[in-house]
Amino acid sequence: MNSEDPPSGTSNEPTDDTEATSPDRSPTATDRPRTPADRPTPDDASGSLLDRIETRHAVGVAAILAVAAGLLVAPGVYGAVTGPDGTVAVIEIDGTIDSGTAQHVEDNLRDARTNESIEAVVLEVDSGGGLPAQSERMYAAVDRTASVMPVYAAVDTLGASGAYLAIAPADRIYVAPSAQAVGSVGVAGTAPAPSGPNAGTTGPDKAGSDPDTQRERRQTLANLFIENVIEQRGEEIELDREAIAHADAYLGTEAVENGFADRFGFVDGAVTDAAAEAGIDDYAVDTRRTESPVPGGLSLLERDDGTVVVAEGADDELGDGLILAVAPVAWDETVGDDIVMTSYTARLPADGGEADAATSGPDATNDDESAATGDDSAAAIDAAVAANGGVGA
Amino acid sequence: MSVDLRTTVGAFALVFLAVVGVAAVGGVVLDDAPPETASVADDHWQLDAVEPETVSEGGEVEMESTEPSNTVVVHLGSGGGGLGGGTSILPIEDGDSPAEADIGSLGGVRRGVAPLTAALVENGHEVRFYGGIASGETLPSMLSDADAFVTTSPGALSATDADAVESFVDAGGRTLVTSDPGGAGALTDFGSPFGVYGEAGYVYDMENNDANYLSVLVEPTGPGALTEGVEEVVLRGAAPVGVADGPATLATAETSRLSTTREAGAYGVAVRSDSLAVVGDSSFLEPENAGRADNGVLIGNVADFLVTGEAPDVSLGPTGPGGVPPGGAVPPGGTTPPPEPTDPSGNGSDPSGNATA
Repeated sequence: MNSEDPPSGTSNEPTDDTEATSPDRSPTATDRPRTPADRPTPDDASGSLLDRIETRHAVGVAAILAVAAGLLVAPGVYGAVTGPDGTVAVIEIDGTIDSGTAQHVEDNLRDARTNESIEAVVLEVDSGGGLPAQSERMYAAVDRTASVMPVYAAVDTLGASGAYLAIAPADRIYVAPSAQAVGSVGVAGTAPAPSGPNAGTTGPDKAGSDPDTQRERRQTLANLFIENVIEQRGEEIELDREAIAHADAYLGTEAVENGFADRFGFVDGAVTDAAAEAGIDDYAVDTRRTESPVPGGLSLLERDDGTVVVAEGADDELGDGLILAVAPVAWDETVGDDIVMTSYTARLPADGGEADAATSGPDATNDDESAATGDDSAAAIDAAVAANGGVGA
Repeated sequence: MSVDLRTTVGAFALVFLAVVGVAAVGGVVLDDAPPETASVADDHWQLDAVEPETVSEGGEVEMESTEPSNTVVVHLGSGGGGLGGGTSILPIEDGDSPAEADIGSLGGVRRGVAPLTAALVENGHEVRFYGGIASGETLPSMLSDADAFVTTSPGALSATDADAVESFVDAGGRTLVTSDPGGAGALTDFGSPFGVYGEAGYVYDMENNDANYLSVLVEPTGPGALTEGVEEVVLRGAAPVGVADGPATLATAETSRLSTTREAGAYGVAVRSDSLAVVGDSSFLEPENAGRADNGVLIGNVADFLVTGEAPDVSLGPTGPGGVPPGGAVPPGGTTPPPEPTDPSGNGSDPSGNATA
């Protein structure tokens, strides 16, 4: 179009009146291709001027459109250039471990694996344990996630028993130096006791298996726990199997020393290190707290200590007939203070309470707690009742 | 216009399909599935790997003694209160509030020694239970007619009763005392005249046990009547006991530890001092435990020990100081009163002894 020839254009000009009289119409794009084809000579004459206008317009319009389009795209580009390269998900493990806790952790870890923007996970832990199977469920989810991205755990005060099982597969465990319970690799429950005849059940074991079987199953659960820990951290932990099975809960300083934890630190440090391990300099942090909804259908209870709790069904605590992976410090909040972990063999309140056949290791219960309780014998009966009652249908 | 429309629609369709096609192809090419996660190792979850080792089952209680009928007094502490040391009771035992059972009682605290008492009665001996000072007959009175005495709760004996048992042991009355963790003080108080003492704490074993660290396996330290035929006994919660002159009869394995010191070593859990036998655990007498390992053999040996030997020459208050319990000794008893002042125990314990005499 720039090759217009003014002389030839002017010579042809008079020959086409119709085209000349409608110069405004020619700049349209639709006419342009037709012009040379239909009327080559006269069109050149008028087109040279019109094309010049048309080009100028087109350039201007194009520029404006380009600016608009650029402005439209620019934020995205800017964001892409300056935004985070990835996300570190911080997932909370808090309180007594039950189905809700396991669901929360498992869902969020699954999301971390499938969501491409999440490059690393930090578990924010403050739990004294709970149900063994739910702890195992989290263990599996953490193990699975740790196989594809860095998963670090940061323990505040409690990272014990079931909670320690859950974080054992993590690539690295950070603890606060003043953490009070790290480890506690064992399970606890009411002591094995025979069950009496009960015409309400359809079989002798429906009311509870015999004491030997109870004892063996408890130890099997403990062995599972111990083997899981050894599988995941056997190389880090400097204690032998027997020492681990003692089920002691260590301070943070001790845990770093004996290998139950890797280093001192808190969530922030764990996030930074996890991002570095994942290779993302510029990262966002996505914190996933445990949801604590208060659905309308549930009633609220005010406890003696003034705290208000949601009463789900009749009982907000875990069944005391179950064998639990709970650290002694978290026992009360897990099953309530009605049931004291007490002894099958030593019931003299004076200086009894030392022996506890219910636990899987000598450190799994807090000796002071049991001994300080004056009503051990009453608790023993309670425990026996609970053991006999067992888990319902 | 129709041509234009067709072209336009065609162009639209072409471009649309091109875009969708590129997206689809690009999606297939570029899409990377969620990263392949490693499966969770589960070899160590197999039951074989985690099932605890347990001792053998199915042992039976058998007595070898052919002694004529002996009388054995059994003291179990005060049912609901003392709870009979390590022998368990069932919640239905009190009877007031049967929680589970609705077809009768299992016998409460007395079931804790049922294998022993059953073996004694089966072999023609008499078993009498002493229920504490609240019961109808006093312990001294019962012991005066008895050949042997069993208590699972020495701490539950009153001072008078403990004195009577002491005299009974001194006189050669075979006595079995079981004392569980927590009862060290009471055992020492009771056993010190015979050189027997209890140690604080309990013994546990993380390696060699019957499915629980408290269920220690104990073995005889040497030949003896109590341990004849016994290779291994399981105790559910053992307290260390000792005797002044000699080794323990039963001791734990070297891998066991004492709770108070955490020191590993073999701890004595059963001792014998002449006619007194002490076991730092009463759970082995329970029906649930009598069949484990060689517990049944030990119970049989204990039963034999209780009924074998001469009747004790016992002098207890209520029966008179003469040392001849039966009233038949009384008529010539003109001679009986004189020794009385020389016997402090008879004199001090109950002057009514003269009345009955």
